Amino acid sequence: MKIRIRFSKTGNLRYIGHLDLMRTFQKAIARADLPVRFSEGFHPHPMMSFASPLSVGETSLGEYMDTELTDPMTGQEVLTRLNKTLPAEIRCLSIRQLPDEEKKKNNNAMAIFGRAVYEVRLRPPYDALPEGTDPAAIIADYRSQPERILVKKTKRSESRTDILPYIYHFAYDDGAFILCLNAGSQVNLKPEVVMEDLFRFAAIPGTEPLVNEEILRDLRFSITRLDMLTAEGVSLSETGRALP
Amino acid sequence: MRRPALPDEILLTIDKPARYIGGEINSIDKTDEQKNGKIDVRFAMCFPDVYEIGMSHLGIQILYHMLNMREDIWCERVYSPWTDLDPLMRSRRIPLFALESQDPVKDFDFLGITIQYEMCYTNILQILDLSGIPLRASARAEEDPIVIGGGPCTYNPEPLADFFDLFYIGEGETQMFPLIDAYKENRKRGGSRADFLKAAAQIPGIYVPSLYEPAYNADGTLASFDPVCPDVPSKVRKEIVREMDTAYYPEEPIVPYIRVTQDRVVMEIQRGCIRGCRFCQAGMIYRPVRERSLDRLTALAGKMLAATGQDELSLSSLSSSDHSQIRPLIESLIDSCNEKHVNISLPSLRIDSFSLDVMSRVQDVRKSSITFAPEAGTQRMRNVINKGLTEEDILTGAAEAFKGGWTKVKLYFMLGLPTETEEDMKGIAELSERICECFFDTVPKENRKGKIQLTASSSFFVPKPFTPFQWAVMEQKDEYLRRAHLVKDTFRAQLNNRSMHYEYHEADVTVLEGVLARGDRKLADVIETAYRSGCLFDAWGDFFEFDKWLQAFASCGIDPDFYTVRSRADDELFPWDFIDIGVTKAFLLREWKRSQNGELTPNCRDACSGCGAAVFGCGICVKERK
Repeated sequence: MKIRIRFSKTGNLRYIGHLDLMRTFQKAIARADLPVRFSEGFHPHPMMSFASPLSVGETSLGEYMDTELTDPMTGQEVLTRLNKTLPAEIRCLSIRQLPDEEKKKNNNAMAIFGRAVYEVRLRPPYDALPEGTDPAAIIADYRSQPERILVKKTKRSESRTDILPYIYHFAYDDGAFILCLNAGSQVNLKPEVVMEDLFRFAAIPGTEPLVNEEILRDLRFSITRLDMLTAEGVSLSETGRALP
Repeated sequence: MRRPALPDEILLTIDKPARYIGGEINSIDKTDEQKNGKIDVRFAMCFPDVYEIGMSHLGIQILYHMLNMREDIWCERVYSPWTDLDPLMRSRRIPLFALESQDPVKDFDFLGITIQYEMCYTNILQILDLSGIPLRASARAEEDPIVIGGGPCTYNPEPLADFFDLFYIGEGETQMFPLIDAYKENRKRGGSRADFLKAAAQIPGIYVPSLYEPAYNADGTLASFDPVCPDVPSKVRKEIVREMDTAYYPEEPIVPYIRVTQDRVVMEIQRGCIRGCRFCQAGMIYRPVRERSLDRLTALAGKMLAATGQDELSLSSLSSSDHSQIRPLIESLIDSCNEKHVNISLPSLRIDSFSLDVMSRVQDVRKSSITFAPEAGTQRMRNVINKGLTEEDILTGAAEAFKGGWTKVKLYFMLGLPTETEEDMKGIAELSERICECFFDTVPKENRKGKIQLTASSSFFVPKPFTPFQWAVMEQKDEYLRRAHLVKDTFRAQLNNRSMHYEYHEADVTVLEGVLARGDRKLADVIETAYRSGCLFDAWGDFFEFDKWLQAFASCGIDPDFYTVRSRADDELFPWDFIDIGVTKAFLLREWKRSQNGELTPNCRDACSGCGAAVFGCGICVKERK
C-alpha cells in the first residue's frame, strides 16, 4: 500500500539537513515498527522518497514523503505511531493513499512536484520598511513589468531567465510575503531570489547586504514553506485518495 | 522548542549546526524538574573532541543515562566547539554551554571530562577556557564547577594534575553516586570547595591532585609522591564493576541527528582482555576480564534496537573472540537482526572458519576486507610483545578467506617496539608478501574474482603506563622515519609490490604522545603554553602543529627527551605509581624481563600468571580454568 505523508519541520529541526532528515525518518519508522517495504541486498533500507529537500534554516508546514507499507493500516494509525516516535518538531499532519496501478508511472512526490508556496518574513535589522512603503503596490508594479531577468553565472556560461512567468502568486499581508513559485526539477525558483529582486526593483534601503565584517551568513529573510503543489497547482495533500 | 545558545546567524554559518542544538531522540530534558526545584546537582559530561567523535563514546553514554536515572541529578553533554565556531564564541563572548539546557557550563556543579587520548589535552583547556573556568584548579573560586577527569589517560593523570580538581580512577559506574552524595552533604553542611575535595579523597578511586605533593631528584626523576595531610590515602586503587550483568547499561541510547563516527547501537559484551599483550594498556588496566552473559546481551540488543531504530548493531570489547559465548551470541543476534533489517557490525574477531562464515552472512564478501593485527613482522618480535598470533594462524586464516572469495586484506603493525631489529622491520613487508603469495597459491587463476589488495599500516609504538613496556626507551623522530622508510623500501622490493599498499602514521605525533603518556606534573606549563599559542585538536592531522609544541617545551625549559629516549631504572618511581590497578609493578617488571628473552606468558584463560588483579575477586580470576 503506497502512502503519501504530509509533515511539518519547525523549530530547531531547521538546522537539520535533508540527508539527516531522511535518517531521522528511517529511525522513527523503525521505532514505530511500521511495516514499511525494504530494498533488497546486504544493506536493506526502507523505501522512502521525499518530494524536495528543504534548505537548512527554513521551516516548513508542507513537506511530503512517499513510502509503501507491506500490510494495510489505517491512516490514523500510521500518523499516531509516527508522531509518537518522531522528534516533536516534526509532525505528520495528514496522509493519502496512492493508487497502486500507477506503480510504473512516475507519480512519486518528487516527480509531480511543480510549485511551492512560501511565507517570507523580514528578519531584524531588515524588518523596518521605510515609512510610506506599500508592499502590495510595489508587488503589483513589479509583476506588471515586461520582464525581470535573472542572470545565473556558472564557470563556463551565463544563463538569463525571465522569472516573472514563474511567479504564480505574490502578496503581502500583515508583515508576511506569500509567494507561489515554480519549483521542481526544471526551474526551481527560490523565494529569497525573488525577494531580493523585488527589493532591488523598489530600491528599498537595505536591499544591498549590510557590510558584514564577520564571515557570518547574511540572513535577511525568515522563510517557511507552506505547501507543495503539482505543476497544475493542486496541493500534494490532495493527490491520491483519502486514507482515514 | 528550546532557544539555542547560539544565534541563528552563527548556526546557519558554521558547519553542521546540529552539533550544538541538542534535542536528539533519547536525550534527557529535565527543564521542568529544574524549574520545579527538583534538581540538586547539575552535571556537565564532556568529551573534549568534536560532537561526532564524542557521541560515539560508550563510557559517556553509560554515565549520562546512569546519572540521569536519579531524580535529583541532571546530567548534560558538552563537546568541543569545532574550529569554525571557536573564534566566534570568543569574539562574541558566548560562554560554552551544555547541549540539553543550552545553559552555560560555568553554572553547573560538576564538569566531568573523559580523557581518552593524550592528543586531546589542549582541547580540555579549550573547554575550560570557553566555559570561563580558570584553567588551574588552584585559581578556581567557590562557585566554579568541580572539574573531574576520568578515562584511560587518568591512569597517569600527572601532566593534567594542575587543571583538575579531582580524578576518578577506574570505571565510573561504582563511585559516581557516592561522590555526588558527598557533594550534596558538604553543601548542606555549608562546607567549602576545599572541604568537599578533602571528603572526596576518602572515596575509593578518587584522586585529588592538590592533596599530594611530588618531590624530584636532581636528575628530574620523581623522588617521592606523598599526601600533604595524614588522612589522605597514599595509594588510590582503581574502581571496577564486579558483576557485569547487574551493572548499569543504557537501554535507550541517544540517537544523533547527524551521522557520527559510531553511527550504530554499541553493545559492550565484556570488559578487559585475557591476552596480556605487553604494549597494551587497555589489556592491563581493565583486568580482570569480565563478561556479560548471553541472556543479558540478547535482551539488551533487542531493547536498544527498539528504543533507537538504529539499523546497525556493533559488539564492543577487546578481543571479542575470547568471549566464552561468542558463537551462540553472534548466531542468535544474526537471526534476530535479519528479521528487523538490522546489520551486525562485527568486532575485531580472530580470522578463522567461524568468523569467516559469520562475515559471509552479514557482509558483502566482494566489498569487505579481512583484518589481521600481527602487530610485528617476525615471530621473534611477536613473542617479545606476547602477541599469541603465529604466522601459521595468519596464513591459514588468509587462505580460508581467499577460498571464501575475499580479496581485500588489512594488516596492522607497530614499528619501534623494544628490541626491534632491521630484520623485524623488513619482516612487515615479507609477511605481507607471503600473504599475497598465499592468495595466488590458494585461488586457481580461473576462480579469481579480482586481484588481492593488501593494505599494511604501521603506527609507531608509544610506551604506556601500567604496561610491561613502561620502562621502554623511545626513539627520536628521525629514527622512526628511517624505520618506516626501510619498511617502505622493503615493500618495493617484493614480487607482489603492486598488490600491496603500505602506510605509516605521523612520527612527530608519536613523540608528543610519548611525552604526555609518561609525563609528570612539570608538563602542565608546556600544555598551557602550547594551548595559548594556538594548539587545538592535536589529534586531527590537519591541525597538529608540532613546531608550536616544540616552542612550548623550549620556553618552559622542559626537555621532551627526558620523557621519551631516557632509559628508566627498574626501581624508578614513576609519576603514576601511586595508582593501584591490581596488577602489580612486580608483575609488570617480570613481564618486561621476560619480553627481553622473547618468553611467552599464557593468557588468563589458560593459566593464571599472578598479575595481581585477583585482588578484585571477580571475573576470570574466580572462574575455573580449562
